[in-house]
Amino acid sequence: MRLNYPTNIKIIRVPCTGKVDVMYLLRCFQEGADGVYCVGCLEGNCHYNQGNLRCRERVTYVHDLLEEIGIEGDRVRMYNLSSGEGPTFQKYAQEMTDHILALGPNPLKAKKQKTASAL
Amino acid sequence: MNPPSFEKQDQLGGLGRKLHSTIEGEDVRAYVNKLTGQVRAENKITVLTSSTVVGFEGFQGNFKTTVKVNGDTDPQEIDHGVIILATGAGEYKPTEYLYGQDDRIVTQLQLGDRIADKGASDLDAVVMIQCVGSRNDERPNCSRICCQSAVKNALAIKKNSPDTQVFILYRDMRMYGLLEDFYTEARKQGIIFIRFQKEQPPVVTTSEEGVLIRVKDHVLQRDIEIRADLLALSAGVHPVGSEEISRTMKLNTNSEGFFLEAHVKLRPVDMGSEGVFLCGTAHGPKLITETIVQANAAASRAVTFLSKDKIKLSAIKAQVDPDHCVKCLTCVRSCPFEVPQFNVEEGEVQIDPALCQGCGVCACVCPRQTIKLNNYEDDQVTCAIDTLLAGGM
Repeated sequence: MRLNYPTNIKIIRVPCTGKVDVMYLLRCFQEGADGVYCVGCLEGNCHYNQGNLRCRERVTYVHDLLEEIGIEGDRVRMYNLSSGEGPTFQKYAQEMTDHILALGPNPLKAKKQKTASAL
Repeated sequence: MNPPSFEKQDQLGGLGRKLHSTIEGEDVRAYVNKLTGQVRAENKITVLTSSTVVGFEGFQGNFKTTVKVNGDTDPQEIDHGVIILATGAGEYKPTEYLYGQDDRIVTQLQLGDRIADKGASDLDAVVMIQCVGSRNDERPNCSRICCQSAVKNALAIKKNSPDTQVFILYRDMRMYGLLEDFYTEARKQGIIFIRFQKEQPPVVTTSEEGVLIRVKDHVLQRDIEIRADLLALSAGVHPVGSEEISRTMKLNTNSEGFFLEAHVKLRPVDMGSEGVFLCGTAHGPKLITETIVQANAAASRAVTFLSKDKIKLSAIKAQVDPDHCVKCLTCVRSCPFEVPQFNVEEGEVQIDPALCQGCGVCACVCPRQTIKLNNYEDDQVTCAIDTLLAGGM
């Protein structure tokens, strides 16, 4: 298919989205990521029964945590697709990138840079 | 080991029972009957017909499938080592071109039956329309076998009744491999091929004298009308029941509902889940010859696995650190395979590496983070995050 997706997306592989810890998501934002999204199997199709549902719960949890500290909660999202859907993967990657570009950079990053230059 | 068991909807043979011959002229039904006879005669094979899979659990070498046979009230449980998935496919039931409203409009399978039953000598003209229910917006993929089945039936008509005119209305002819010879033969025999565009499909009307098909000829660039005694639609190949099976057995399908292999080139008959193999039209539309080759491949992959005394497992396993474990049993409750067990004698939670499937759910739910998943330890993942983000975005 030779599809392209935006190059600013960095992929971290996990065995199942059920392995995605709240800590990993927060760490990404702390390190300056502008957005994070988890891509899991279709709901009801998890090989490990409910790994993707667990991930969705954690994503919602992180969404609320971000809102609480004044960062747009929608910077973290969950998408579902089956492993055969390359074009859908590309579509979601583009959709997420456009969405994050509209939101602008992660406010934590600006702060981090400011502290760094002050030192 | 238990004798391997086969499950199937009503009788063995699937779509093969509906076909008469291959394009090369070989008798499909005779082959299917011979093969099912051999399977039935083999006492190490149990055939369960009219059965449905209602439950499924386990992992490679140790599957447990619950099967409901013939609508029995209590389903039977089968322990087995591997699965070969060959659920097949069916012919699409067209909604286009007045199908079902007139009995002179049939599908290629029905046309095959008609030629075998009554011949074609009573027909003056037959028209076939290709790409019905495939290569459209809803189902973008080519159904692969319809071009050759149209040419096969057209040649059968010409053989049976050389005076019958045959027109094939196509968008693209794909007679792949050596099938091209039959395409040449068909043109030699006077079968007329007319190309139409997706945006301007043929228009079908019915009348007393026959079925009227109006199509824009690509050479004349004007509309022509053909009167046919029979209109055959090359209906695409559609998956049957794959949605249900993919849900019960947690197997991946593509967006069209055909099952997916683990890797197109490197593992073409293995499925993503270990110990599950795939063949036939459940995987995608294909010819009988191709299906047989793939079935042989799936069978030998299955035997390669079954003949082993030991299997090598992946190193991605969860491990508990008993020193910091507070025995809250969250992992015991969360594991989809019930692998973590509380060992009462030693007073600690243990994870058997032979049974662990390495999904990492337990590592994630553990409130004390005393479970680590090898190769995906927290340190490794956070290190990956830090490194990837180190250059800024």
